[in-house]
Amino acid sequence: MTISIDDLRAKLAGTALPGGELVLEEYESAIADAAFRAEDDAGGFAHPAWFIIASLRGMGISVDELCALAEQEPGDTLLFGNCEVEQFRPLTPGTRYRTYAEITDVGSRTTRDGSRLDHLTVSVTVSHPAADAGRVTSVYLFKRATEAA
Amino acid sequence: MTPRPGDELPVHTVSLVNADHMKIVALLLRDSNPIHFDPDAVRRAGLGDRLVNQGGATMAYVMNLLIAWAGSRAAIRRISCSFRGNVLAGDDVVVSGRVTEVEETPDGSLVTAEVWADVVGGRRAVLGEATVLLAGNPA
Repeated sequence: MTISIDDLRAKLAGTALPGGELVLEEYESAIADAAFRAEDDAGGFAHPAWFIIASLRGMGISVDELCALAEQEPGDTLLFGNCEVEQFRPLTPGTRYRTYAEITDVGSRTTRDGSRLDHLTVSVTVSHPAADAGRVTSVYLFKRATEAA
Repeated sequence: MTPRPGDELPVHTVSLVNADHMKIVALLLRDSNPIHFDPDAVRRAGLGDRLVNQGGATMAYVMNLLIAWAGSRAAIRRISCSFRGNVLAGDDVVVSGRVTEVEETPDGSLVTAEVWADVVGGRRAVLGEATVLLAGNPA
């Protein structure tokens, strides 16, 4: 049975995730540029989409583990709802970053087809010893296959 | 020249979204969702027979437009995107935007724009808002 939204909120809202480290390797930066179809002169900076990579690799848990925290059940569908990147200073290849992650919000709504759509908002701050480089706020959606009791 | 609200951003086309790139991005993201690398998983999910691009990769195409327009990867200050529809392997994607606000600062023009990515002949995949600093336009 799907967990109620009140129980899910009580369980997860405000939960700090382990966070971790991201070493932005130069070869990965070059490969990412090709995969993201970047054609610019990088100017010594990593592609800003690396913040998205950092937000997934830097939670300190996998997406599968995030799904488990959200009590995803067979038939529930995970969707990437929204992503906000704030770039305070660009990331640079060859640099080691620290990441801090937290589930900042848990909510739910009913879709037009009557499905229950829960959301988890995860904030990841990407930090260098000198200063924060940026922050990513991602909204993960869980379309539930069954109604809550 | 300083942009004004209502000005259109350039239109940029990403031709033939590449399935191999999706597999690379899955590795970079540590994204285990098989709809990005396993056609059988796509079929089982009822999503057709073409691999599904990562939303973050489609968002990167929008970033590419902003970088080309503003002249630097450092120019992007904020970008927020909602993911409205799937981009599939082999799709052509058009990205563009429209200026909504311009704030003059000592460092240049801080420009906010509505941005989007559309599959050619089909659906809107991404809709969002971005703020970039045009450093060549000091107040």
